[in-house]
Amino acid sequence: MKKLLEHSNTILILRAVLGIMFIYASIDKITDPLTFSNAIDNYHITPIAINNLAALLIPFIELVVGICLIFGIFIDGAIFIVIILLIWFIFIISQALYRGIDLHCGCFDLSDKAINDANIKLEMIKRIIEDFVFLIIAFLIKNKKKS
Amino acid sequence: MKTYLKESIIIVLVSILFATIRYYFIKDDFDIIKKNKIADRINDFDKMDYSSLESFIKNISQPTFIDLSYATQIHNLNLATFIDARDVDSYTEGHIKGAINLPYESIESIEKKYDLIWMNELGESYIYNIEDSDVKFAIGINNNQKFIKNLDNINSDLKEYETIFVIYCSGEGCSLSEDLAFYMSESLGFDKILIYEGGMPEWLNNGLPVE
Repeated sequence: MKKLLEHSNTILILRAVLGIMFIYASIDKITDPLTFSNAIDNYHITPIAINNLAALLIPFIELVVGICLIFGIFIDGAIFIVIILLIWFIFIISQALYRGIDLHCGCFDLSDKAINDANIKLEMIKRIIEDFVFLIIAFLIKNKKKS
Repeated sequence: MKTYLKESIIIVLVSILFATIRYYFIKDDFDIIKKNKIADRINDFDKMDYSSLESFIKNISQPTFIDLSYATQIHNLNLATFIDARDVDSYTEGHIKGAINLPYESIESIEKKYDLIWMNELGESYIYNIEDSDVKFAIGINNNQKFIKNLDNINSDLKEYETIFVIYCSGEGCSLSEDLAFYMSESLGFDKILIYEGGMPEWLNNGLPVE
């Protein structure tokens, strides 16, 4: 019994953490979609033509998903979308790292030499790790929900 | 349908609803289909008199798209040289009155033949008469100003409009004008370049002067 209660509290906390993270991440992008759109351009992975549409829609998906997680509605759908989003984010940052793209300017000039570049790369690796952690949390929520 | 799929669809639909509402608050500055950042888009119809157009032109620093009203006024006031980026045959069939033909497809071979990139980089005054299978124009530098002239005018003093260009081709879907604009800006160092997107079809549709 105790273990079950513990588990359901942990799930609540995990959902709250994930939910708040997504809502927080969405706010700047909702208020300034143009800047977000330009940021998407810098990944050089999507055709520029759709980046405005993506910049308009994705933040709202993040917002709605965050609200769902916090209030416990549509959890199955929300977690499914969270997992897809996180895998996508991990993918695009990884490919940028691999291709030597500096996400601040969208330029392809990250060499292995300058210290500055090391910082930028570190930042990207940090983001990938963060997203992996969130991904693990998402899977925990998904699996606990089944039981 | 599985629960998670149903719920995902609902979440996405709700998000689309919010996004649509948000769009109506920003639509004046937000294109659904994003255009390439490369050239700026100017669409305000406010300032169309000579001096405003003149200062608009003075302030551009990279190839800039213009619409029909700008193109018409600039043509009326003779503020720029119009350049037809299409092939010679299309140009011969009909072109904007006064336009010079500079087919994008030929620019690289012309550049190689006359070493234009080097000449423009060097920056010293020069003038070349280009006559290359039906393509005829003069290009050069005069007092640090890069120009393109109609061959008929080679002996006259350099005019302002010979250093400012409006490039067009066959309208929407034709990239020759943009490609040429870029080439002139990035490889040849021209800095006052406008791209008239509507091109020949729109110009003709509006009964504007052709020859």
